[in-house]
Amino acid sequence: MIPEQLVDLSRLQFAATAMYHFLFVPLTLGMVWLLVIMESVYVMTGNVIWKDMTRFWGKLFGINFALGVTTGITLEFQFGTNWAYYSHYVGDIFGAPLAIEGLMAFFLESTFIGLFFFGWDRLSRTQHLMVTTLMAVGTNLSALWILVANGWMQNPVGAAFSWQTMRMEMTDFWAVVFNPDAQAKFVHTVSAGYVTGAMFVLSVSSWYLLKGRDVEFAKRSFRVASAFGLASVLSVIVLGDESGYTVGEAQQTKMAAIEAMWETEPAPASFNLIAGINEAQQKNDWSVEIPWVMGLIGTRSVTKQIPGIHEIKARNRERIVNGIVAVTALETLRKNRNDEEARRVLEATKGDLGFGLLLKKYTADVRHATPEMIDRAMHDTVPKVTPMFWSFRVMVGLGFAMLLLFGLTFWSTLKSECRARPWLLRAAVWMLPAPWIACELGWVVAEYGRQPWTIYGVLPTHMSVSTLSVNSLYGSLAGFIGFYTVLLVVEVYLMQKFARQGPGSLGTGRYQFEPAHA
Amino acid sequence: MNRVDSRLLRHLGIAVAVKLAVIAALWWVFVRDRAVDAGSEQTAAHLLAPANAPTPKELRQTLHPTTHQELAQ
Repeated sequence: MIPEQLVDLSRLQFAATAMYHFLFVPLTLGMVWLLVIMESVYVMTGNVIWKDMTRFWGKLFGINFALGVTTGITLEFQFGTNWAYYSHYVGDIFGAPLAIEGLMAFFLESTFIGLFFFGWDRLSRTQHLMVTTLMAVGTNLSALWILVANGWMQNPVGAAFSWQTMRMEMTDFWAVVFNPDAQAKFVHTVSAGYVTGAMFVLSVSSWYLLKGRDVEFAKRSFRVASAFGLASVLSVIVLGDESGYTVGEAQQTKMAAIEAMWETEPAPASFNLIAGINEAQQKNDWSVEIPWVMGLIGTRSVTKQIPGIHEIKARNRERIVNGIVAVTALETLRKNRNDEEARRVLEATKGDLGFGLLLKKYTADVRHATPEMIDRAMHDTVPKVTPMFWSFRVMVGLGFAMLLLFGLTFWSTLKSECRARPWLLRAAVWMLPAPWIACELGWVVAEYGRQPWTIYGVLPTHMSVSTLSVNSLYGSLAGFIGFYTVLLVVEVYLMQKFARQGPGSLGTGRYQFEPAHA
Repeated sequence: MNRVDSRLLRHLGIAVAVKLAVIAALWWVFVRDRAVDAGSEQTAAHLLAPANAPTPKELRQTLHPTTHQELAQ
């Protein structure tokens, strides 16, 4: 059996690198569209301040891109080293969108980023705007293919298990691409990136306005960020609701854990706004509930029930027992390829094959699983409720706080009163970390909530991991964390340095604090 | 491109080069010699019981008695 420590360390390493990587990604996703908006206004009006805005914010975008690029490569190292069995089992499906991302989107993005920075004096206004737009398209296409891959891990459609090759094989490419989970996840994630970009520009612009420097530049930036941020945060909330609905359809365990919903309630279920969760006794000691809301979010109806954790676990127990038959039939077929009965049994039970493999955490031979082992595997099928419940609520709370902020800043720009409310400007500065925290918590909900699976309902996490040495994992984990921390420190240093310099760093002679040597 | 931008560009270029070097070093130290052979045979050995597996008919005799009862239900 695979040692638990090995599984935990491999998970920790992947989580740490993915979370560091996603500190850079959302800013890139969001700022690039703000650059498109600013440059479009420049092309339409010819007003050079909009060109300066594109160049200045583009510089900060470039710093973020340069430091963020390649931070995702280490994740791909890990698929090969730490998750070799996962890579074999699902590489046929999971590898395709990753390869398309690398070949198409990343090269498109990288090429046009080069043209964006070096093309100002070589391209016409319209040509340069086209470059900026294609850079934005490339950046978002990258996100699309990555999220198609991730969406398939949450809801593995368009694929079937082959006992001959011992892996999942793609049966319908378009089902993988148009997987409802992937599409909902894509639009929700990129919208969250747009909010991050808008918040960054809004916060820095607010700081300039508080200091009374480069006011015309800052007011325009503030206006664009407010409008774009308001539209984006509304999209995040609406698309997050859609994402919640797809989770309710495909991942009932995740939905139940997010809501700390232990028992199946009569439809429409109420929403636990906050609750005192008692994991040991599998119940909530107290809760503040809003009637109907959960039923409406999770089922889009007032008549459909949402199963509670206890009901889901009971169903999963049956699937685990059925999975024992599937695993045994597979073992028989691997031994004797002509055994028709085993083939028939596997065909009938292969939907529960993954559930049978859950027992491998407790016994090398699932046929000898005791009822206690089956019970433990059953409890494993639902992730811990407390981190899911609170991660989700902090994420949603921050989302609504940002909606309020962008609503107020947008209103103040409509009234041309950007500088009239210093408290609002200070709030915008202090809210700078909010979208990053919300994004990271969103990923915790998505990925921790998928446990105990790497591929939901198909491949358990503990069976996906490679048989490496624990020492090697400690070493690479320390190396990755040290490396990424240095990158983050450099990123924060450079961003605050150039943000403090302001548009004066462009050396155009039109702004305050022009560097003497510019 | 002004001097500030040129210097920033140089620094970012160095940062990307250092990053690639560090990633290459991490790969060299932790990844290069740790290839895990995970073909269909290896995956079968990893996922399935190493011992001789029974046929589905034999399964009923080899299952844990309580599990057998559950399956019968």
